[in-house]
Amino acid sequence: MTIQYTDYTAPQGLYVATGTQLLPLASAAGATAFVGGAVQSGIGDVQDAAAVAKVTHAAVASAR
Amino acid sequence: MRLIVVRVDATAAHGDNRFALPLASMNGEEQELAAAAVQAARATFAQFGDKPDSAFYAAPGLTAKETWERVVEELARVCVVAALDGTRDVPLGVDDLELIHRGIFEPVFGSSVAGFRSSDEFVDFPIYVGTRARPELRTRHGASPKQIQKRLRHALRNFDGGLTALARQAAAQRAELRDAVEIAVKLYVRIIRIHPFMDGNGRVAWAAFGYALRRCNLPLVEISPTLDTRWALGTALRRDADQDYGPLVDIVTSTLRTSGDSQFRAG
Repeated sequence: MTIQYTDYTAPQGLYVATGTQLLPLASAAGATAFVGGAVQSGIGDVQDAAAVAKVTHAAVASAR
Repeated sequence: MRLIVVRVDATAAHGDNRFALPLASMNGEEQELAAAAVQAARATFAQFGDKPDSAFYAAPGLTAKETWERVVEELARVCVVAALDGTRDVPLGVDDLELIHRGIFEPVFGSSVAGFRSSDEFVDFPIYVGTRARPELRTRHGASPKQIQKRLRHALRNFDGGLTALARQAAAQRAELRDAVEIAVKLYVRIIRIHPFMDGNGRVAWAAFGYALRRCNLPLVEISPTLDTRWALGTALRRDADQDYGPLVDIVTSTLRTSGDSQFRAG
């Protein structure tokens, strides 16, 4: 199922939208943007990792 | 104390988990894209440093940084597989979400920490609420362990329903970008809201988000974890009258639009 939009034309193939450009995932820059998006995915990113771990362990400890 | 066992050869011993296939076992397109993503993961390691200090984040025998490097490589590979599944309209089920988690974490931490939370594992997580100008950090509870699978099924049914409605709109030449982004964002947010895993919920949700975008025939997106983005995610995760998917949908829609599509317009 290939959905087409009235107000947006999607590129064919796997691209990564960075906010300034569309990069093919198969390119080095596109793959880097893709990995960046995956790692920095809101709550699950590196910067929050320690905080989440502390909250998680505290919750588990209190539940036991 | 949680016992973490490293299964060194886990990547090779993928069993029947398609999200855990080593590169050598992938087909041509998967292999090319996954190899590029894993290579990119290695190229970005320098920016991470050694911040995680919890034993939960450092597998025995590996430093925290080495652990993260392994996780990022597996994450990159799994996200490619999920995105390709979306491109090919492969259905996504509750079991697949657990396989995504296992695909990312089993090769590094072993099976003892991968998979859905068990019946006695409860989890809280931080979210940003407050106002856009003054975000405040709060704690949210994940779903009760007994409710996890039921609520994930519900989230996936809603996604499928949204996709069906979108296809109808497209057939009538009335489908708009924001409608599609909202469908994908809701799946992402609902997985994080349920928090089915002890750890890695954001990463699994992101893999599912990429899958969802591709089901909608949209590009993948890179979203930086700015305070504004986190506030938008937190606002979507709220349970009160101020809950709103809108800000996060706006960010993703804007990211897609400002990345440019005019060069691909038929003409």
